[in-house]
Amino acid sequence: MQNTEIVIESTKSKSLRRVCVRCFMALALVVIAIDTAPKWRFVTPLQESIRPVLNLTGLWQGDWPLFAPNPVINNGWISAEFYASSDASPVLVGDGRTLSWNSPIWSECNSWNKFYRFRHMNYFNRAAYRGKNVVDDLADYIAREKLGPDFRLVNTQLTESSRDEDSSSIDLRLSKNALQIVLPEDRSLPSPEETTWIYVGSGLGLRRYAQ
Amino acid sequence: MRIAHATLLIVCTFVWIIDSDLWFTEAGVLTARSAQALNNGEQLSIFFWFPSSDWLVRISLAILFVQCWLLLLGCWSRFQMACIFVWLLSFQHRNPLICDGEDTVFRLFSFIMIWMPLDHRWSLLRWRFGWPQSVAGREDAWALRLIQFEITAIYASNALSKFQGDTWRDGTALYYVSKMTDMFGRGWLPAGLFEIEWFVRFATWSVLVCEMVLPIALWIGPTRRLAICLGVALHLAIEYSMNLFLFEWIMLVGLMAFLSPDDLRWFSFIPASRRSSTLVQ
Repeated sequence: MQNTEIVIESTKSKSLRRVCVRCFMALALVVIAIDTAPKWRFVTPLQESIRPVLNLTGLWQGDWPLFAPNPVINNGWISAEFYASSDASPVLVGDGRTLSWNSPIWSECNSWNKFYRFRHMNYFNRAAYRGKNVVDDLADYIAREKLGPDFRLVNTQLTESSRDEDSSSIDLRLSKNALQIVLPEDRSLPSPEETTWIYVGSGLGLRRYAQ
Repeated sequence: MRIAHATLLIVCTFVWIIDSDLWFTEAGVLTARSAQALNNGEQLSIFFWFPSSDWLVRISLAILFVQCWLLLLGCWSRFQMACIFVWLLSFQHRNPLICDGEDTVFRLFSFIMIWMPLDHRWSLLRWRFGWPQSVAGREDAWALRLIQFEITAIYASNALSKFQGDTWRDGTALYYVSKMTDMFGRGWLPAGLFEIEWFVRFATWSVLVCEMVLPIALWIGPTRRLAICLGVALHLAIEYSMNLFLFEWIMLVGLMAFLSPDDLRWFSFIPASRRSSTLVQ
């Protein structure tokens, strides 16, 4: 009799486990479907309602726009130039070259380089587009690397014409640069020799550092 | 799957360790405050609860690295996987700018695999303590179904997103992809290949059709094996031609979830009596 009771209890617990698993699977399927759906009008309210919970639990994913809806050519790089605050003259290093910094030019890197520096690729492709905080942090990092830890940030409210004649401080100008492809009017696919690229550059920020 | 997933995690973590100060400390390119602002504060990370000092980041990465190895060797694998999920979450929230789709897949697979019987086979612990090899039952395989759902969702979502783009519909998308100097051009390809109009359209539409067919074909018995082969071919082709780090490899790990025990006959070294739980390992 006791063995029969044990078997019955075991069967009941297995059934309960099966029900719980099926309910969890159904919930997971619905959540995955909503979270990965494209941003359609009728789905967006549902996505916005579940996103905070998914973000908090680490289970967010969003839709998967891998080179979608259209591939975005991001042959760009970030550059930094250093100027004396007093007269806007370029800061020179020991061998007479101007002090500057560039993010990696990926077209000049080999495959192994691109593999183990893939995180660099992700970061520099996005840093210019994720807001002022990110750009400022990058500028501060470049200043520490190029000017040394003795230089501290002293002014962020600068314009192109801002000068500080009595100071030995240095201005860091951060810029984003990109090469954009220009297609023929008939939307045909030109060969490499016929492809036209235009340079597009814009300022990201100007910060002043002093010892 | 456990072994493949752990191997990829080891590579990923090692690359993080090389530049840990750059990505995860206050002396790097992104402060904790800016990282929190990126997601409106809706994230959990150990590095937001404690100051993200150099030593905390390095110790955390060292622990993560060791746990990835323990996962590979099959030592208390579910516990390791749970910890790895927390670590991945913390590091990805600490610097979301260096992360992309593969990190999402790593994180989700880690969460799902917590619920799998990971130490049933090829486990160092089981060998060390002399525990007999066991066979996981069907009732333990439900989490494998979640990975199948996830892979299907990725293909379907990507296909739907691509279909909304006019370059994918008119067949010119891969021409633009071939102009990406950062990601494209890994393996040798004939010069001018992606300027040949018919080839570009054929390749573009092939990718689109492949991604639209896979979510369906993977679930139909007669087409499942062909779909798996198609998926493997797609990912290996992308891996050959593009620099996407580990994304294609983690997708191949996900495709393993669709392999049935009978499929392993194609890999002739696995005896018939031992196939049932080999897949999860």
